[in-house]
This record gives sequence, structure tokens and C-alpha cells, in this order.
Amino acid sequence: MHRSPFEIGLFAIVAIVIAFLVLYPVGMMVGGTFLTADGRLTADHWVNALKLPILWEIVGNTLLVTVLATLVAVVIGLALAFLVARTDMPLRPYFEYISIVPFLTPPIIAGFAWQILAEKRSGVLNILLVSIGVPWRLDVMSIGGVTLVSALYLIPFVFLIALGVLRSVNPDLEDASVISGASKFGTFTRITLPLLMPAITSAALLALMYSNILFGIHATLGMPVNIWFLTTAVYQSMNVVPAQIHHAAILACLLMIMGMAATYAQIRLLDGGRSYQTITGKGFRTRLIPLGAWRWPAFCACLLYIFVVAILPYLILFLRSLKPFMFQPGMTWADVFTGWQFDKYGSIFRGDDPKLTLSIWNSFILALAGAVIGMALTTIAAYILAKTSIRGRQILNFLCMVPLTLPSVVLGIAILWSYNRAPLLLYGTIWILLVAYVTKDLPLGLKSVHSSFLQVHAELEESARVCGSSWWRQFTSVTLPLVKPGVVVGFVLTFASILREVGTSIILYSQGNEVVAYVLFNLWENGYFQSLSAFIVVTTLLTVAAVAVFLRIGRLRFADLTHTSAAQS
Amino acid sequence: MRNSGGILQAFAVLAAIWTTLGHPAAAADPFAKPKLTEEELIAGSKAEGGKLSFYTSIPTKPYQAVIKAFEERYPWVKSTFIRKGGPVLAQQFYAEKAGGTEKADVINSGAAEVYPDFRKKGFLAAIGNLPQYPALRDLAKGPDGTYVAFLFVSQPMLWNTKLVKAEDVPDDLWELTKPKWKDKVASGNPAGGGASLNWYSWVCDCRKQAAGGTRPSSGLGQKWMNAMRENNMLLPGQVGPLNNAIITGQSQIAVSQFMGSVVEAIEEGAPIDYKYPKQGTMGQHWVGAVNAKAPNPYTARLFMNWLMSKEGQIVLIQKLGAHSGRADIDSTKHFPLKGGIAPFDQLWIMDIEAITAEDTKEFVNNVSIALMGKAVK
Repeated sequence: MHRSPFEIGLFAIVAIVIAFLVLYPVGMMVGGTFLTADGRLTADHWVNALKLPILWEIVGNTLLVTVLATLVAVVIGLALAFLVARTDMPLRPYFEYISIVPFLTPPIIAGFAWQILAEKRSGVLNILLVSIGVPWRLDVMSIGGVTLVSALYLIPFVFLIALGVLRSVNPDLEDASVISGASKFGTFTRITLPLLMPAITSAALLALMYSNILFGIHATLGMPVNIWFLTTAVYQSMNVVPAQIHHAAILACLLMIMGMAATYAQIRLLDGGRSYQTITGKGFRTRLIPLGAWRWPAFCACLLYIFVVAILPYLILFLRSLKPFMFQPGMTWADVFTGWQFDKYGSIFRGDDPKLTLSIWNSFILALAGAVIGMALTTIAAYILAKTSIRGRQILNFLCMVPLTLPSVVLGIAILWSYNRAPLLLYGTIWILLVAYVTKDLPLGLKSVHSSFLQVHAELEESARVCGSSWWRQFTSVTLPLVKPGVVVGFVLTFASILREVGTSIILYSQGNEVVAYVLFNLWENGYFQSLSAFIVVTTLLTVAAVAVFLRIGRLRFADLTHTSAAQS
Repeated sequence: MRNSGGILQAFAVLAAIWTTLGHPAAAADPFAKPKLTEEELIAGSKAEGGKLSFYTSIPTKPYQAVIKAFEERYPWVKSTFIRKGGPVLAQQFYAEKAGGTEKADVINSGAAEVYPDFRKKGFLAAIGNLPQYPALRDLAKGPDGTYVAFLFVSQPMLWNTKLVKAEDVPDDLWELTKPKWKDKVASGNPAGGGASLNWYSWVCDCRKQAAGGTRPSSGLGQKWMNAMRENNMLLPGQVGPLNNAIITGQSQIAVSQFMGSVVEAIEEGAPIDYKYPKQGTMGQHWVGAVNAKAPNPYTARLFMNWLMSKEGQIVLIQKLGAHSGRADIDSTKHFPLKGGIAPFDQLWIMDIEAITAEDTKEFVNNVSIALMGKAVK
């Protein structure tokens, strides 16, 4: 741990930029809850909001689904990451790509797809169950349904973060355990699992906080059957005229408090990050654990997961895109598989609606720019947090996590009001979307790269310094290559997150600046489900292709990482 | 004397400048005339470049048909649009006003109740001097000529024709509270605001109606809403998701649906049909106004004028299945579906000027308690 003048300067700059991005809009929003219309201080808004009869039920539902979905996501995500990163399971590389598909799906689309699949009266799976004589029905529009769909959606967060870290665990530590007589299970629980703790807690907290803001799932699966969450209550507050902005802001503050508590818990848990450092000056090569007879059962289990999470929803959306009114009552399977029309795809590719084409272009440019800017900021912030002893550096952690606690509709409104006045007049330009996306995804970038920094032992950087390297040379040639897996993962997560961001997009877009999420929401709201399904299929394929390219690039650099470690040693 | 001569000279110069430039107030508002002609609007529109920025809640496909017809009529006009749900669109307009970023020429939010506030805050231009304005019904004219309801959209019942026979669909909304219909009925979710919420203004009989209160009230009230909650009425969302819930069979009957969406779905071949219950239905204002600080004020007025014209009204009726804002158009003749439309004088129309913020809060709470068993505001 160190604090050179350069690092202090860097800390100051990054802290000011992030503080401005976060505190300015959030401050406007929170401050507003204590002001009357004519600008006087008041606590009335809070008093009134806390008296709401439904409030504690909403908070209870939110906590219940959040905790349960996170637990499910951590267990499945970790297991999947372990199988892919550390075992000889067949076709592992393919699982790596496909398991991020649901992560690329906007929650509103996940909700939409699962409604088609498992709504208790009209769900395709339920019709299938009835046709084979099974009396039991799935009911996705329930607390249990919202929990499971949320969990499916959160698994990729855990998976991607755990995957990078699992690949960085030095097998020598596990070998030492086995040589000392420990069983494979004992080695996993006593050596591997503790080494994964930073990643697990990061991923769990990330999943926990993200589950709080899965508005699309809450809205499509909960609201129709009167199951309310903080997210949907915020949405409702914004959907009356005049909008209950104070009420929405106070509910958002409750989410923010929950997020702050989770961040504080993580900081306490990871206090003394030195004990988690596994990347040292000594090189290593990740060795795969042979599964023996369990290879194919493990493969089948992963395949089932992939089928349920990635294939089934998209298969149903693909089918939905082929007829104006697919899945009507009384439809036979022959009806489903005949009379397909591909005109909606043709329309997209021909560019019949210029807004659709423009939205794809805008979204990809914004996602790329947002991911680059976001990762630049959060990589420096993570470095300062993990590698320096600068007093007050933890403020970066808090600042970066704040946007995660805000429903995106509320963040969109806060940003709209904040950047709508000279000299910060960004509204009406594409830049306001960029600012919103960078702000919103600061937590993703930070969490992805922070745990990677924690694993890099200081001896490597010290070696570079002893050899006379400048701070910049040491950072770019030693530290950065070692944390590249985390940076790549953070980049991919941020890129995909921007592409699927709906809440801020529908508030902030303006003419000529349409983005994919806006088009999706608009098609959904209008009830153009065939066009919506086709557009989802096309944009998801494009997103997956882009992510595959990034991962491919990242993988090459993972190899570079090994070489760099070896060279340093 | 020398000094007073200097002062007089200065006054003379100022007077000359005043005369040359004209009165500043008059120069600032070329629309203050008692009457504007279409020729003036056309000349002004061409001079300002023929751009139009339309903020609307009209669903995309009908919008495209409407704007296509307008651009064919005035071929130099090139329009852009923002389409959002009524409340969100209103939020955007408020924010733009607060920041001074004027982007909208014409605003048509599906949340009609925002217009009185827009008017009181001075956000809207007076358009009472447009050529087509006098042809509108009195009921369609907002105070001071600041906004107009160019349409009144009815909200009929909707059902899935594969699941329910037409003769089995009850005429009486009270029938739907019976156990026979448990788990089979849906409604637009009032939590989403806009038309779905406003329909409950008619249901609850708790808001003032326009036109002197002579139209039929629903007679349903809290008791009916409570009974529908007991019958597990599904609240899938706004117009699109509600249509989808009926078409896919999640529910069999919707108690009300925005007619524009019904027209679109039936024309595309959806297995649905509609009718009006014996209680009648609500006529939802479909309001348009010109932004007081419209970037393209002439084209904005030209567009509003066209929307109020017979030509524009017929296109709107055909695409949105609504009643005209004009008294001299028989909407039933241009209505696109064979099932017809409820007579205009049978539509319950809300007095949107009577709505206050406190009233809205109480209203939403009442609806929420009745339909969801809890207050959410």
C-alpha cells in the first residue's frame, strides 16, 4: 500500500469526476424531497410517505425477492463458473458464451418471454403440461415466479465475475492442500472457496443490488397480479399527473439506503484484502480438474440451465416473431410450426423504419463509448481503492455504488432535471444518454475490476519500482495486464448493460437519438409483439456477436496475463 | 436650452428607431391577430423551413398514417416525433420548460389532465384564431383557446372470440363480478396512468364530468371495483399488454380498452371483438396544443389546423376509431369497424379543468384501494 503524490492527484481527479456524475443528479433528487414547491425546508414528504399503508408490504416483497434471488443466483452462478473454468467438462467454451445471453436481455423482455412461457392460464409450458396429462401448473406471475426469473437473470453477473477470478487462482495452493491429505471437497471448501470470497461477495452484492432494480421483471410479472415492489411503486408514482416526484424520490431513497448497507457490508467483509491475494510474482498455469464419470452429467446439468435460461425464452420469442398472433387459445402445434412470416425481419434489414436502424447504430456507439469511459474511470478508482493507502479513498466505493440503488426511471428523471440548464445543457443531445449510461454503470465497472486488483500482490508492483519503473510504466506494464480479465469482464458487462438499459433511455432520448431500449419499450407499450420479438432476436444476435468479439480479444489477453506473470517472476 | 435641445434630439432618434423597428411587443407575437389564414400559416411554415416536432402518445402505426397524410397535403413539411406514454411525455415537456430547452412544436399527451396545468403555467400558445378552430365542438375547446380535444376516444369492452361467444359476453359490467367470471377478466392497469386510470374516473363516479353533467354515469363505484378485485381481475398494463392478455387467453374479457388499439388489432386479424356495456363508457379527451415557445410556430399551427380540419379529422377517425372534435362530422360514417361506435352523446366526458393535484392523489388512492386492496400513493 502506498500513496505517491501522483496517486493522490489521480484520486482527486477521479473522485471529483465521479462525485459530480453521481452526487449532482442524486443530490438534486434527494434534496428535492426536503423542499416545498416554493423552496422551503420540510419533512412532510417523508412523513407522508412513511405513513403509507402499503409501504412495509412493498419493502417486505422487495427484500424477500432480492435475498432469495441472490442466493439462487450465487449458488448456480458459482457452480457454473467452476465447471467452466476449472473442470474438463465437454464443450466448456460454448457454455462461456451462451450463459451470458440472459444477461444481455433487458429485464422487460425476460418478463415478457416468461409470461408467454409460464403464465398459469395461457403459458406455452402449461399447455404442454396439460397435453401430457400433468395436472400441475407453473405460475410465473407470483412471488416465487418473480424470484426465479430474477435469479435466472442475475446468474450471469455471478458467473462472469467468478469465472475471471477462478482462472486466476493458483493451483499450487490447492495442490498443497491435497498433498497435506485434504480431500477434493475439503480443498474446495477450505482453499478455493475462501480465495473466491472477494469475487463471491462482490458478485453477490452486485446481484443483490441489481435484483432491486429489475423493474422490467417486477412490472411484467408482479404488477398485473398486484404484487408490488419498490421499483413498481416508483413507476406508479411517476405515472400520474401531476407526477408524485417526491414520493418516487423517497422510495428511491429507500432503495439507495439498502444499497448503501450492502456496500458497507462488503467493505467490512473485505477489510484486509491482502489475505485474498493469489496472483504473486510466481507464475502458474490453471490446471483442469478431471470430473471422470461426472463429465457428462455435469454437461447435461449445464445444458439444462442453458436451455431454460437462454434457449427457451429466445425460442419462444423467435416463434412469436413469425406470426402476428402466435400462441392463441386453441392453436395446435401444427399451427405453431406452419405459416411462418419473416416480413418483420425483412422490414428490419431493409430499414423500412429508419428509427429502428438508427437506434441500433446509436446504441452500439453509445455502449462502446460508455464502456470505454466507464472502465477508464472505474479502473483507476479500483486501483486507488485496492492498491493505495490514500485516506478517504473508500468514498470512491460509496460513490460508485450509489447509482446501482436507483431505479433507472428515477435516475433518468434526476439526470434530465440536472443536465437541462446552462451551462450543463445536454438535454436534446446524445451526450446526455452517454452521461446517464456512464453514471448508471459505474457500479458494474468498479465491482468487476476491484476484485481483480485485490488479487494482485504488491510484490509485483514493488519489483517494478525497485527496477526503476515510473508509476505510469508500472501501472501499464505490470498492474493493468494482471487485472485485464476483470477489465475485460467489466467492459463486456457495461457494454451489454448500456444496450439493454430501458428506464433512463425512455426518459432521455430525443429526436434523432433513439436507442434500442427505447424502440423495445415503445413496441411493447404499443402492443406490437411480433415486431418486438423480431427486433429482440436481431438486436440480441448483434449484441452476442459484439460480446463474443470482446471476449475473444479478452481471452488473448488472458494468455498475455500468464506470460506477463511468468516474465515478471 | 442647449441641454434641452440635446434631449429632444435623443428622443427624436429613439422615436425614429421605434418607428423603424416597430413596436417590440407586436414584433414578438405575429400570432396575436384575431384571425389567422391558412395562407399566412403556409407562408410562415415555408419561411421557417417546414420542420415540425410532434410530441405524441398516439401509437406508432396510426401516427405514421396521420403524419403521412399531413405531409402529402403540405409536401415541404418534414416532421420528426417523440412517442411516449402520456405521463412520461408530460414529464419531458415540464423538464424542457424548466430548462428552457424548447423542442416541441405540438404536444399531444395521452394524459389529458396535464393540459390545464400547462395552460395555467403559460406553456401553451393561444390557437383560437386558427381557421378551423370555430368548427370544433364547445366541449373540445379548452379555456382561452389554448388547447383542443381534436378527438374523443371511447373505451369499449373487449373479448377473445375463441374463448367467449359473443352472446355470452355480458351487457352489464356487474355480471363480471359473478363467480363465473373469476380469473377471466382483465383491465388496463391504473398504475400506468393515462387512459387506463382515467377510465376509472367514470367507474368511480368521483370526478366531475364536463358538459353540465348530463351524460350517464356508470353506477359502478367502489362496490364494483371491490367486487372485481375479489374476482381476481388481472391488471396487465396499458393498451398493448392488455390486448396481448386477451389475444393470448390470459384473460377472456377486458372491461375497457382504448379504441385505437382495438381498431389496429382487429384490422390485423386478432381474434377479438368489442362492444359497449349497458352502463355506457367514457369519452377520453385526445388533446393537442401548440407550445407557446414552439421552435417552428407556423408549422405547428399549420399542423394543428390540419388536425382540426375535416380532412385531418377523417384520417384520425379512421386510424384511431374515435369521435371527431368537430360537430359537423358524423364519425360513425368514417368509423373503420363494422361493430360501430357508441353515440357521442352517450360518452361520459370528464371535466379536465376541474382536476387538482390533491384530487388526483385521492382519486388514485381510492382506485388503488378498490382494485388492489391497498393505497399505493
